[in-house]
Amino acid sequence: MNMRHDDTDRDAGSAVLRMQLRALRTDIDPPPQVWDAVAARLDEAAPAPPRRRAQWPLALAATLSCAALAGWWALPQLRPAAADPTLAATFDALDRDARDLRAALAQAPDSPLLLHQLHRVDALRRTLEQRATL
Amino acid sequence: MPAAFAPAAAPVPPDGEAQANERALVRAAASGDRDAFAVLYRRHAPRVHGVIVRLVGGRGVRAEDLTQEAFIHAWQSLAGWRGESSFATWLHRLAVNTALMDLRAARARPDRDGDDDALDSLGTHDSATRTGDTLDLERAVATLPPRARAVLVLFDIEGWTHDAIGEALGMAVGSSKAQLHRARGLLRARLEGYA
Repeated sequence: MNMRHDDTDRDAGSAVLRMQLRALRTDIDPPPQVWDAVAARLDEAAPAPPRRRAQWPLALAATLSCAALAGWWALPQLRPAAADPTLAATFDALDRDARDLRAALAQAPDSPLLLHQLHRVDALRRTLEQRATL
Repeated sequence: MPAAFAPAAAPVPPDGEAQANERALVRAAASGDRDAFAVLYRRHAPRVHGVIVRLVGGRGVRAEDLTQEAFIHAWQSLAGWRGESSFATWLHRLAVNTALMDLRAARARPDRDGDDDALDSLGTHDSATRTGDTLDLERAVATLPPRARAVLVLFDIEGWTHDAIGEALGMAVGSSKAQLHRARGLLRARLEGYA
């Protein structure tokens, strides 16, 4: 993670405000019940075995194909919005892809490609929702 | 210590042995050692909870739930940490992603305004040890719109670059800068309101 600062608000007031904001970067102890809740879930959420490198790219590839389908569906000149029998299946597929991408992001939280794809799936779903309500 | 009990504060080992110690703990936890994971939790939970509290705009159930989720994700993903960055950096990024995903999901839930819950909790913890100015600033940050708040928290408090923020939030660098400018303007206006 690159920590370089490069903003353009450079007046004295801004500098003071930035110093005050930076001072807010403090650790905060979570209440004990947070660990209790985590500990209670450890068994059900077993650690994943060492991943094969091919796992999350496969999830990404599947998502790309589904996103392409959804993008085609969202084109207004090609598809009328109402009563399309593929709509529910498309929503299901997008939700499944979003889940897969979140799981993949848990494995590779620094991946800009996965983040970008998750944003794309979210945006496509919103577009479909808007179009479906028209 | 059995992992079922809330871990007490754990001293961080000296720098020289910290990395090897941490790697050993992560390896043990990745193989299912709950006690090792408990040590990692008590070592890193305050930093993780801190950034989540700031991103969601305050302490409360939502921040606690997200801290819990972040550590569950970490538990499930420990094998994915390959030591390319420090474990603390990896976990911090995972926690930020967890909070940002929740912010995105909240945008799609018109019936939910999680910020109200967060705002109610402001000023109810540790008030005696913090100055009025700090509380005002925290409160003002918490009242920012979620996306603007996320950019301001990541840039001005956590020290991220606009490039990294753009990737995390799915926005262009220019949009991140614009959101930061907006957030600072709103922040100043709110602080003047408290004066």
